[in-house]
Amino acid sequence: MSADQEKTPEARPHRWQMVIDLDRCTGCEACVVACHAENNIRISGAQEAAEGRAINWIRIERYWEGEYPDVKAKFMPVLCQQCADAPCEPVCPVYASYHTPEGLNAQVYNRCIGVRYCGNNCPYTARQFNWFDPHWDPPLQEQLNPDVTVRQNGIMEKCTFCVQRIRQGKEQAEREGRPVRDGDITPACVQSCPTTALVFGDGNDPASQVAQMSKSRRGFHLLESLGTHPAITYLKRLDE
Amino acid sequence: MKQGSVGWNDMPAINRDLLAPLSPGGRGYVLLVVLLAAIVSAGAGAWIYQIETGIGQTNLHPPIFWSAYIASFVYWIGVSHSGTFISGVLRLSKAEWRRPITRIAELMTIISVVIATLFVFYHLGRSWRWYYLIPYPNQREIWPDFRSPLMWDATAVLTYATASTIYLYLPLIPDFALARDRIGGWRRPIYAALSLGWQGSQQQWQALNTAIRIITPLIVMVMISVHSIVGYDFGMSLVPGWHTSIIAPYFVVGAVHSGLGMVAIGLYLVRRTYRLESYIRLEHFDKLGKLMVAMTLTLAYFYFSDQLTVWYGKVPDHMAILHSLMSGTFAVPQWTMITLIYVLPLITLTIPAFRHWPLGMMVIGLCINVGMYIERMLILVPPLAHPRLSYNWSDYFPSWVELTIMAGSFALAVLLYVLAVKFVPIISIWEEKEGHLHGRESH
Amino acid sequence: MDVKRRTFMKALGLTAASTILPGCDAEVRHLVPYLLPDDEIVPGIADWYASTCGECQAGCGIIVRVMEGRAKKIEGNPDHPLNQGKLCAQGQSALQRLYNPDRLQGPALRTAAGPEGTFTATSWDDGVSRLAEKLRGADGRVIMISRPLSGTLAELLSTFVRSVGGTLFFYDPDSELSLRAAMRRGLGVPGIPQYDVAQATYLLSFGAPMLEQWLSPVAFGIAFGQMRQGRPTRRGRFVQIEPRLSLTGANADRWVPVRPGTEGLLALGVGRLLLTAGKADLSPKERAAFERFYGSIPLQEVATGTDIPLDQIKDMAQAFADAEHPLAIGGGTACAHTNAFAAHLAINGLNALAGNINREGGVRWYPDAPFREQADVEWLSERRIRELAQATAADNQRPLLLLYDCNPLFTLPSTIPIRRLFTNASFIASFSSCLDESTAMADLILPDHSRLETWGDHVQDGSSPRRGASLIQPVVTPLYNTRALGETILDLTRRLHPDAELPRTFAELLRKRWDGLAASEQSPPPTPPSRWVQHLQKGGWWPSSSTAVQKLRMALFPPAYEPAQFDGEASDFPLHFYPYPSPTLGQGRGANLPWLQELPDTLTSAIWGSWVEINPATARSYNIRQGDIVRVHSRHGSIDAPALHYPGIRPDVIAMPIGQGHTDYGRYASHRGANPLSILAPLFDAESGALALGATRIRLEPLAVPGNLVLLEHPGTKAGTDLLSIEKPRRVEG
Ligand code: SF4
Ligand code: SF4
Ligand code: SF4
Ligand code: SF4
Ligand code: SF4
Repeated sequence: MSADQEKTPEARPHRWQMVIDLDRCTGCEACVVACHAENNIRISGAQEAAEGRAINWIRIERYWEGEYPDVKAKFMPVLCQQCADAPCEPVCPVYASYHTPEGLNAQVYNRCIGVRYCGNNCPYTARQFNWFDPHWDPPLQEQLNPDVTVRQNGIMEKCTFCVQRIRQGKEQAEREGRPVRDGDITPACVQSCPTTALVFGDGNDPASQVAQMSKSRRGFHLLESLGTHPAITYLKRLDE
Repeated sequence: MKQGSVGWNDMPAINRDLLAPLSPGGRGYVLLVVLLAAIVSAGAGAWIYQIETGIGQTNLHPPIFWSAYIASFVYWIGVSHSGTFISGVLRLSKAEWRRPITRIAELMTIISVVIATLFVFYHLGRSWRWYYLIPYPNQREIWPDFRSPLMWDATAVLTYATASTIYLYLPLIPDFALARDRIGGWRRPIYAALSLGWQGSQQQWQALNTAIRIITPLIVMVMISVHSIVGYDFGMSLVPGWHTSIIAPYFVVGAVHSGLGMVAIGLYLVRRTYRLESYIRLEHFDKLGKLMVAMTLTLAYFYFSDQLTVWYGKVPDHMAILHSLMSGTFAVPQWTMITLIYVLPLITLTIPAFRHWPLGMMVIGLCINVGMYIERMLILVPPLAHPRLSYNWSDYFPSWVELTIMAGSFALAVLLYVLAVKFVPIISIWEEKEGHLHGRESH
Repeated sequence: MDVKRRTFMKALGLTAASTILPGCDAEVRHLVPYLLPDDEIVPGIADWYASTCGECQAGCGIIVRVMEGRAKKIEGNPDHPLNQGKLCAQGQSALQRLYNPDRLQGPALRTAAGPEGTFTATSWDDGVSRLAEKLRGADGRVIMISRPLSGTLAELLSTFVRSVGGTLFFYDPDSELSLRAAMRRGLGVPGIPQYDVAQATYLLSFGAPMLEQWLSPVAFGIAFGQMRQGRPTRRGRFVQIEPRLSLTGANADRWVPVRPGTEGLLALGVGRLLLTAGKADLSPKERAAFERFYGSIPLQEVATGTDIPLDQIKDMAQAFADAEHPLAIGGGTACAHTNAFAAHLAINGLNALAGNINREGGVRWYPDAPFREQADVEWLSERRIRELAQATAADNQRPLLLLYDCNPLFTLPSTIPIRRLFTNASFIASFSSCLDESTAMADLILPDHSRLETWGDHVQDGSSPRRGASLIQPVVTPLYNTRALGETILDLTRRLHPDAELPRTFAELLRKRWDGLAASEQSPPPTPPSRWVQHLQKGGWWPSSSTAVQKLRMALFPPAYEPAQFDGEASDFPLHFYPYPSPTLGQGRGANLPWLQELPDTLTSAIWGSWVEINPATARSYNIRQGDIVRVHSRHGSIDAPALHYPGIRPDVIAMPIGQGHTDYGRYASHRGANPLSILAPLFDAESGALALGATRIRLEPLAVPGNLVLLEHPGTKAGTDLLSIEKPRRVEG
């Protein structure tokens, strides 16, 4: 990390990171729909949902604390943490769960044979599986994003940090002959979030908002003790 | 009645008795084969349906990504330990009483490794892409990832299957030769080919004994490694309840436990069906019973150590699983399992008279196997059902497709056995003879 | 698509303007107006069009990503002052309204003998001429009920309905009429003023579901984030007062489970304490009025009445008085009682007592924008609908009913005889774009385009400091043989009044109005692109600087505070019933969109269905297991739904989300769950006539059979998780 920071901005690889401010998140789930729309996430339907198979790359986990009348509900958006030491990677026998040079945990759909070991070994239950082929009642398929593959039966999927947007942002910057600027790239969930609870950027750019915010005293990583070194920093919710 | 070139009645009693099972089966036999084939077809149909429509025909769902198929894989790999343990360890320790039961057990090994392997294919989300698991040269230079315990596992199972086939085959050579000489018809050329020109010369016997002496310790090591590696599939993961260092030895002992139970069942059935009371004697059941007590105690000791450590440590992630087992969602199968694999064997098998009761031994063997099947499910499902973020907790019961495939596979195992018994002398004839010789010498 | 659209554009005479587009400034480079000619559309490259969301009344600015003629994604318009680039779940799901497989695909006539909802297709010419014929014969007995509209379409509609001698009504079950009435009478404003949540330091909310389905959820979401963490040194505190913990309440620092119907009483108590501590500069006359109003009930009585300890009330009042920017708001189900109007007066009066009206962090109203000159259309209250229905039944009138984009047969309880209004109608024509319970009863359907296929505009009221108007433009060519309502109305007008001088298209009408706006703008028109094109690119017009605040003063007057009335005896119906608009499906409008059906309700994680929320203690006493069906009986009927143990609700209250229970609303919504509105009593807020949603008492009958409760979270998950210990702040090095 420190060695990276000494490099010039052009030479330093990106390290995409996110900050989730739990004191801002209202549980409105705009991010959930944004992710569905951006990433061609299937419509599971009532039956598959009842079987526990509704697919969400980002979900708002809600935990109750206390009992009536001193009861509190706390929310936490959970998506793939893009672990720097991702437990889902070494267990995959076919390199379908793969670590990119920019620190993303990529899922190579073509390669995946559906062993599902990665799903077991992700401590955040971030991985989702395609138990059947997806289906859209026509003409709903017209909404599909041409930049994102539709995943077929038998393979694993999960949040990609909207890699298609990252790529687009980088290409745009390259065309314009400049480095990627902070704020150029926003994943769909971050883009929609009304309360700005989600912030995205290059953690290796010390001036970026995400790098600044992740130093907050309120910061913590989810299941930090497991040593997965997530790319997502949560900021603690404050209470009275 | 003419059989082969030597008249049936001209044979020594031992040859006659032990080759008898190879003669064509009666109506009961045919009915059994038809029945088993029907169940196998149902299983095959269910599998085709699952491939056609999607792995969603199982009741799997996040966070429970593995369950019945993998549990069955583990179970069948466990059963495969019967043969190797009984015949390998007992051969190494020169236990005389092993002689009539080694072949019964070794056959189980091969068949259950085959069945276990099938479950890997049932489990894959895209089974038609199974060859990605094979390291074959390709344009893109993508190889399987040998960091994955699943690759270790695939390697170990393949080695084990190869080794135990050889291990079954070597001691069969003299018996095939015997069959070649005694049994005619369409099987004769096959036996001739398989017996590799065995003439029973001194040199041949020496070579055979040397080969068996070399492969026996090897196969025992492979056996221990293979189930350890199956255990590592779980132990190497971060899943609370799987991630424990005792899992490898625990898996090995558990495998031998179910394997011994299976041998008890096999012994009883073969003995009854072919009236081999004079070969498979009560003494054998007694020895087997003692071995089962030892295994029960070892397994219970490992289990207790593991659960006590969890309970005393009170780590919440782990406690959630323990609670669900002891008093929660999974309490009924858990206590059934404990009764079947620990309590019942201990209270019965410690009574000498019970060990001399073949039917009772068979029933206990059955209990242990049912219990161990449940146990394999319980190793898999409750830990997966309680991931660390408790919002995602869930539970699971197999779907009809899973149950049909499991039943079909079980039927396939029995079918293969029933068919094999018509082809392979089920008791090693030459070893039995050797035993008689030793017996005479020692008396 | 090509020919149709190009000729359409030519008809507008606008193609010339479009050729100038490519040289725009960097800021709006990726936003192109719809006028881009086809040959400049590059396959594989996305274009973004600005427009306006129509999923609720807020009217957020949107930009739509279009590739090769197909809309792909809706995002917030970063230039729009209301939503600043953000968008809620509903707004994003509007894409599925465009591509909904159950959309009406063209004009249709009720099949003569068929039951409700069987139609045969017809031509536009036939449909429109039939309706014109009926209107000619209606002799002025025409009632049109529409969702609230603004801008050009509102004006056109009201002109048209007046021209045929009928009456136009706006109806929206979410319109907070009692709050509007309190604002009109108390502050003298025609709408709901701006509550400056972003700058508040102490927010006392009496059930206002500002983060879910209230007024302008995205704007409130932005403000909430700002209030919590947007100011480096200050974090606004937030108390939510309501009998059932709502999603908004879950975000509060403290939840105060007040006894149903006593929100106003609590406000009286707080106000009484503030009178001595408050900072308002009140004239002696005003002070006397305030003292009369707030002093009418002794504090101890407030404490027992509201079921909130006196100390806690005092703490609240103290914190409110001490705060630099205190703010009191009220709304939602919590204020839906027969005394809602008085409750809102008492709640909003707190702002006056704290002296934060017309101030930052308080309550403000801005003068009207140029576009505001708008037809005065009556908003239907539920009581008014009952009167209408009763009147038509009484004098045996057979009115001609016109419906647009509202579904009163679903959103009104059966105790309000709305169905009779429908069955009495001589003829019903609906302009809605999909079949719903109300449209299924129509004789003729002339379906509107989807919002993404049509022209229009939306005018902000004085609740925004940057009041202005946003434009609605077609971003795709219409998928089906539908027609914009504006066009249908123009066509009807032409047939009924052949001499009238009319614009040729609705788009032309729209553009004329906007050209008027351009003329009224101060700055000289820029060199190309023209103002119109600029407005289209940007998504509308809003002055860049904040306008002056219009000074308000709070007036209080009788009626004094009155306790809420409830329907049903406490002995027979021991529990209160709280139907609340679902944060995802609203009042049912969202139920036909699969993204919203599959969007878990955050607090319960339930999807694809409805449920009855019961306090776990109450459930135990009734022996109701989670997921088992319970039958909810009121005096007016019963409904069945699975039980859900909900820790955040008073033990004497049963809550249920509104939105499901459709019988005729497409494949995703129909025959799913139950509609809690159907068993409500016809009780209304005394002043505004708004339905008192929370005024029905009920009884529970456990049926002990498992229901279809689909939760994302596994039922029975305990709170116990080591997440909490993990939430401790990380050690900071150095
Ligand atoms: S959009 Fe933002 S505020 Fe809403 S749930 Fe997602 S993270 Fe939370
Ligand atoms: S969160 Fe899970 S899926 Fe994502 S990188 Fe980490 S282990 Fe892998
Ligand atoms: S499911 Fe796919 S990605 Fe996961 S371990 Fe199996 S092959 Fe790898
Ligand atoms: S980053 Fe992209 S893929 Fe990941 S949750 Fe957000 S929207 Fe979905
Ligand atoms: S609040 Fe949501 S539904 Fe309402 S206008 Fe804005 S985006 Fe649309």
